[in-house]
Amino acid sequence: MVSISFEELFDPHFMESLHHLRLVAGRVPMGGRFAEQRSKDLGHGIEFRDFRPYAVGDDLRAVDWNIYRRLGRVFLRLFEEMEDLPVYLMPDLSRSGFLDEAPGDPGRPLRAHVGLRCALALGAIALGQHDSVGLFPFSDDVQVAMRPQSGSGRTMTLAKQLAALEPGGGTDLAQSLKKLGAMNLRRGLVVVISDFFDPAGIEAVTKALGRVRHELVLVRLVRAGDADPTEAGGPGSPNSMSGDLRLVDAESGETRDLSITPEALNAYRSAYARFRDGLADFAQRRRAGLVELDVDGDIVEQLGALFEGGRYEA
Amino acid sequence: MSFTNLSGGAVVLGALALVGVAFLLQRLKVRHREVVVPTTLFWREALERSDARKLVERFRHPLSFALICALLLLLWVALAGPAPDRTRGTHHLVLVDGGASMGRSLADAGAGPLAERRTRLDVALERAAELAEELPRARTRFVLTGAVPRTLLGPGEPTELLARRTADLVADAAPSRLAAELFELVEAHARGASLGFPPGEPVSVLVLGDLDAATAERVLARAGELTLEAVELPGELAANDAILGLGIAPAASGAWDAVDLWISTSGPAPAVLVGGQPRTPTPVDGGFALTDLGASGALVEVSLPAGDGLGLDDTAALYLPRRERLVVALDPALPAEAAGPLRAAVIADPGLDLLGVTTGDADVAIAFAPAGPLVPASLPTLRITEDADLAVVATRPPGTAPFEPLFEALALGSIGTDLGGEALAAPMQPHLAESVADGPATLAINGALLAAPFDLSEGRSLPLFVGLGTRWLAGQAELLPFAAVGRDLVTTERDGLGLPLRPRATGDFDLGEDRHHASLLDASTTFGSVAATLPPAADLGGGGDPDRTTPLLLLALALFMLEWFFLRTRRMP
Repeated sequence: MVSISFEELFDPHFMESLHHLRLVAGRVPMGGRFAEQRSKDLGHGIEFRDFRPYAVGDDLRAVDWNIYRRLGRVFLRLFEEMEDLPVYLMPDLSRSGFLDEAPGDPGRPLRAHVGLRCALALGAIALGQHDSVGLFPFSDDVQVAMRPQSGSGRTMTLAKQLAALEPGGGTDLAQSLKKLGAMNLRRGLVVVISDFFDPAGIEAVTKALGRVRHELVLVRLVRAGDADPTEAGGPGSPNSMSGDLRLVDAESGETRDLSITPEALNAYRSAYARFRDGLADFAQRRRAGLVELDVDGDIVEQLGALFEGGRYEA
Repeated sequence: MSFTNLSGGAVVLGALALVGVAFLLQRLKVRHREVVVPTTLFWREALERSDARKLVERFRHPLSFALICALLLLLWVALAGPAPDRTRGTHHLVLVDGGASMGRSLADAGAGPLAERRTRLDVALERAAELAEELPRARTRFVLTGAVPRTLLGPGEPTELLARRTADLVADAAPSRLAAELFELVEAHARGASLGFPPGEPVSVLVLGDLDAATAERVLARAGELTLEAVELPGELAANDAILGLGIAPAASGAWDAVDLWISTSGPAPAVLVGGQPRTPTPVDGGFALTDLGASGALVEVSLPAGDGLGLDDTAALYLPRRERLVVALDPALPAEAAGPLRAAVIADPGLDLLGVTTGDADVAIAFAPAGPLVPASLPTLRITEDADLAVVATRPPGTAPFEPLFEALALGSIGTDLGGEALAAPMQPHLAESVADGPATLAINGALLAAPFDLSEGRSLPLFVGLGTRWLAGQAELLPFAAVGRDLVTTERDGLGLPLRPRATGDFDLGEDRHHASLLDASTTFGSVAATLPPAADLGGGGDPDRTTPLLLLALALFMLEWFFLRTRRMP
């Protein structure tokens, strides 16, 4: 298990390809810095939004004197307040992400590496539009790798932080999200980048996700062999899923003996389908974004599906 | 490869052992291959189902076990090659005639060189090869009845050996021994001999050759429970001419040192070479003759034009005998009553010259015992004695031939019946005696035989006795009239078992100090028919051992591929 190097992560071509993508929030909560996201607050922005009667203490510079001249009443002009969107990146650092599922095949990267690149991509997009980005990697617990910061100049910092991350233990998303919630972060967008292989099961995962106060984007790192283990490796390959196997759980280290039979494969496939459908149902109910990122495919191209028309509205 | 010597029980035991080993291997603790997976989350259900079948743990692959057992058994059966016990049942003896008659080419064999033409033996061997495939190998023996019988393929030997052993086989230059072999066979069977097969089990003899009807009838009459059948040999034989007879006889002219030659052929006049010089034979009734040929030991070669159906019987040869006149000295001391008849007998014999009283150049002497001073002791002598109790006593030096011709003639009464009569029997027992002693050969005759009441001199026996006696004393060989392969020589010589001498193949042979030549001279070889004289063989198919190894191995391969397919498609772990 190895973390990704900075050079691998911060690929100029990769970063260049992200420039056309934008992350747009519906209304960001008040209290943020001036930025490019529309806020629920009304203030001194550029775009006119509404009028309201003058009240004592209001800024006289906002009085619309034309209305006062015509109607004799004092109204204030209200403008859109543009603030930043806090983006909390939660890449999965559990051991399953660092499992080399295709030893010796450079075309098949580790899940965690892809997750980190995805986190960098989303973070770079957010920082590029002056949003603040925080990095909260998790495995069996969450850690604060980078407090929310803004400014496109922070992209390098983010990349360094991502490259410095070390593999964690098992996956405990419920615990991690619970601790994230306890941090009382400004409401923003939580992006969970994980394979969601939580031993507690998909029900526990969705339950924990449901308690998150922030907007949610779920990036599920998938691989073709997840849905059909027979595609993980043909007969004869080290990872061939056939014969009498001793399955070693990459996260827990637990071993289980199993003979691969058509019945066993069918049971696996149906269990995986329930897992996938359960997460998709949750995302639909919660109106959270869900993207299945094939770790063996091109990241930017697949993120394009999330950023429909070049932008994603959280 | 097969272990055909394994019994059925051994094969079954081996199969059970293999199944047992496969079963034990299935029961052994499975060595699981370790595979690290991102999560076992989705395998839980499969693991739970697997745990539910814990009772049959370590034997979870019945399909795999069944396929492995089937594979092992197929391979085992293919290699072990179990077959029904084919050593029991009817045994087959296939007799292939290897005599000269089988060398006759077929009528449709073309006009190429004789050696390249297809012969009747070729047809017989092809049929034998077919029989080797059809008959049970464990119970069939193929024997070639040539000049010397020999086994071509023994029971249990691979069929391929027959082709190898008969690749360059040609007919022997000897008359067919098929009839003789069959006679020996039926006689041996009648005596209860095993014929090389397990006793008490039926034997079928298949004949690939020809028998004349009379021989076949006699053989069948003696066959008893032995089944004798002829295998049909298709093909018409080409026309054939042959030298049927070649022999000599004392010259009709009476000349002792000459012989007459007689030749019998079935075709045109033969070409004759005597000592390398061509001679033209004179046609006589039933053949050709050359008279008064000097008995000089020259080689006589007779031949017919080549190109007919068989070349073996187109040539014949013999050596002329060496016959020289003997000089006989008559002892002057002989009594007048004996000397007169003896002198007359010597003079009457064309091969004897009488030498007055001088014995210096004589070959044999005729003397009174004891001999007079003019007869040297070193000279072979026919003695007239008066004091012997025996009629005739022959004394020969060690290493010389016994005087059987005379003894046989005496015993048969051809010299004089009086010698075997009652009158002689009482005072002179035994009548004839022979002894071996150093010194020259002597033949003593009781002088009483020359007087009354025997009076041998009055009959025709005395000249014969004198002629035979002097020639034996001089060591002169008897005349061999002819020498034909497969027929007894007309000679008093015998082999070690006391049986008549019989040449087994054409060519030169020695008899005593003389060289002779045996020729084929066999009318049955020349005129032998192809008519079936034995009952035809019934359909013999179905008794052979079909090749089961290849199909079994192919089936095993198919099963292996099926297992591989199941493995690839994960229908089987």
